[in-house]
Amino acid sequence: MGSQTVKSLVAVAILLVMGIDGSSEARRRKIISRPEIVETQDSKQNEPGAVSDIQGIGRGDTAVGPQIFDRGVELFYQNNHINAAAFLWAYMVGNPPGADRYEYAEFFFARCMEALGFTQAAMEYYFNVAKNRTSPELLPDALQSIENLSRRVPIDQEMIYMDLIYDSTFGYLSGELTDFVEYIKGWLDYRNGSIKWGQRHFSHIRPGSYYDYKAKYVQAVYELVKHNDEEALKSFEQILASDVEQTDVINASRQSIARLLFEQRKYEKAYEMYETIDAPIEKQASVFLEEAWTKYFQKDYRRSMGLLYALEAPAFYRYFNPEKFLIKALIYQNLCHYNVAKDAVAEFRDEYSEAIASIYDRLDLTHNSVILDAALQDPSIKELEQFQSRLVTELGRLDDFEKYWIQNRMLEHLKRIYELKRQQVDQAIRARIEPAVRKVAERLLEYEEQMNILEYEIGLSIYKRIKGAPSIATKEKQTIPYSDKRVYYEFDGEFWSDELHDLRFFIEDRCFGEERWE
Amino acid sequence: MRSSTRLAAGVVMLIGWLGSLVTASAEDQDTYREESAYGPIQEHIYKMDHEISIGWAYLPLDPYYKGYGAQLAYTIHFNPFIALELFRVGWSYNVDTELKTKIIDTAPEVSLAEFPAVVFFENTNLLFKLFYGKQSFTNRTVVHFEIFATLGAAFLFRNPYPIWEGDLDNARYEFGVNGGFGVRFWFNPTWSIRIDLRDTVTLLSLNQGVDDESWLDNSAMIGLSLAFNL
Repeated sequence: MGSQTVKSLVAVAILLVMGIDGSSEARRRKIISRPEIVETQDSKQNEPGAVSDIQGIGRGDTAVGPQIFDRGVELFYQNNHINAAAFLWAYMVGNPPGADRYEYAEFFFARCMEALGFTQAAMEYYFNVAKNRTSPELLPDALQSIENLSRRVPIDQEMIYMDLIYDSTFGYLSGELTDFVEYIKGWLDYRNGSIKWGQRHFSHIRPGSYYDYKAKYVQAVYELVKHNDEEALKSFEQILASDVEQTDVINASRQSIARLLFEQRKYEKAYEMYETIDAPIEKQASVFLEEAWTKYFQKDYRRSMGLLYALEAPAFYRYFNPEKFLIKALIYQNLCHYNVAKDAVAEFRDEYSEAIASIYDRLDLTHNSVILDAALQDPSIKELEQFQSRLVTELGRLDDFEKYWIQNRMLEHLKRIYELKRQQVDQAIRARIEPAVRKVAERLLEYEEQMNILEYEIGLSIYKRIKGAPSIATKEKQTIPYSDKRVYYEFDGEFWSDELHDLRFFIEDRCFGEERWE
Repeated sequence: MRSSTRLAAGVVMLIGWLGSLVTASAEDQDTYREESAYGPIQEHIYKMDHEISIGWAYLPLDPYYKGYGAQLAYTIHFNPFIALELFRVGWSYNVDTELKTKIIDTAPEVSLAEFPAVVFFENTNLLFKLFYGKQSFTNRTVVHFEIFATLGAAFLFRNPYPIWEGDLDNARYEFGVNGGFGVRFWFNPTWSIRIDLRDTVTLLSLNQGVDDESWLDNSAMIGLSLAFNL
């Protein structure tokens, strides 16, 4: 796994140095620009507080008074977010941006959007409130909402982190918000290579807070990038020694420590550390693979193979993993199951032959589904892809609100926000896909070469065995007791998440046995 | 304030305080907790879609007779949690108990018409599949099972005489609610065996005898069926 770890580190380094391109501010402004007014349509709904009450409001020749805003806020506090949004929207389209309570309307509109699950629309309006600050008293609440959303869902990092947080000075903020803002600024400085500035930002974070540990994690990763492993290990261990309960930081630190221990050939400790990771199962694909390597080097082939089978679980269906065929073939070879070792090589070719052929034929690799899907899993693209997928979902859900939001072109405006953002993300993905595809292609060629060598070695082993004199079998007999303190469940293809770490593959060691290869 | 009222108020406050503690602690812990999109089982292998089951039924509750019968059911499973048993129809062959024989022997004025027995039944129920699990049998075989609760409507046809005697003058048509529990063990993803324990409470009875005041009747059923997943 030497190469695996190096690749992981390189991926982290790429994340750190990955620049965010483009002057997005102008583009963003275009998206969120105030809509032209206003064409009303008949409303068919007759609910209390319904938007039919505001039909025609904001037509341009009609002044929209504060009572519309008040009604919107009232409905918001009655948890009637759908109609509250319509009233607040009517207020916004009927008044210029500098109008009294305009920013409040934007804020409450964002809250409604958030409550209804339209996180991108919410972010756009929180952004407006936090960026313009014509009502500065709303800034803490807007930033707090942004912080909450940034932890829960994929967000437009370029807009929030670069355009809003990195580019702004907010003045006094409460402790938690200062931590958030300083962490983002420091993290971006580290990514851009401005380490001293980053350190200065991190020094403003309250010790012991969530973002303090995130900052420590960034600093530890930076030590790794500098190949200062001992220092990095100390920093990761400091995070683990703390009483921090935030699982993302803890699990990332555990995995980093395990990788370092693996590099130091402390396989047992590395495995123990991997086993402490309790991230959501779908985020543990790399953990399983690295554990499989660890167990392989410990010569615990049954566990190693069990972990490879765990990677077949539905949670990992998109995980690009040619390495598993290599480990499989190595395990079979080490246990002298040469036939199936060759089968594992054949499996690799079945899976990736088309992709490899595309590479040799110098075709456009973005048209190959295997390579494209693997490239989309690249850390530089994955977050964008998740964000795009969220945009598409939310855009699709907008139609459910047609009868409520058709007035004043509110629905049209929201759709335009999502559509333009989707296009923007598409462009960003396109810009990053080329290097990611190249990386995948290089990985595939590397594994193909390794598989070729392995196949040759398997052939040699078979030849040696046929030529050699049969020796006395010293096989370890595998039996499953009828009753034991350990309970055995035969694997039947049903993946129980809590069992994945415990799968064992029953296979006999045929080395030094007397049977000949057929 | 009476001591019992004070005690009740104290209990309410204590529950409220504990509730707020639990909520606050859950909120604190969940603030930065990563959540999985997958449940404990990533894909059920043993799951039902359209189920036909056929089997035996035993009606043990009535002191005057015991019913032995057959039943047939069709169930639509919407997801791993909920299913609709569109119908479960059954026929019961009733055997008199010693008590009934003794009463008839010792009290000649008692008419046989006063012992209506369930002859046909029909249930339409929702199934709530609460538990799904597996057990290892002597470390050799894995047995998959589920435990479910049922709730729905029932129809019963009662008659004091066997149906082939053709005497329907004292027949009753009863409607009521039905609830119970069941367990299913799978042989493989297609075939399974299920055991049902159900009770029907009659709420409306038509054609009942005027001198019978106990129309709010219970009828329990124990079923053993072989199920096939279409």
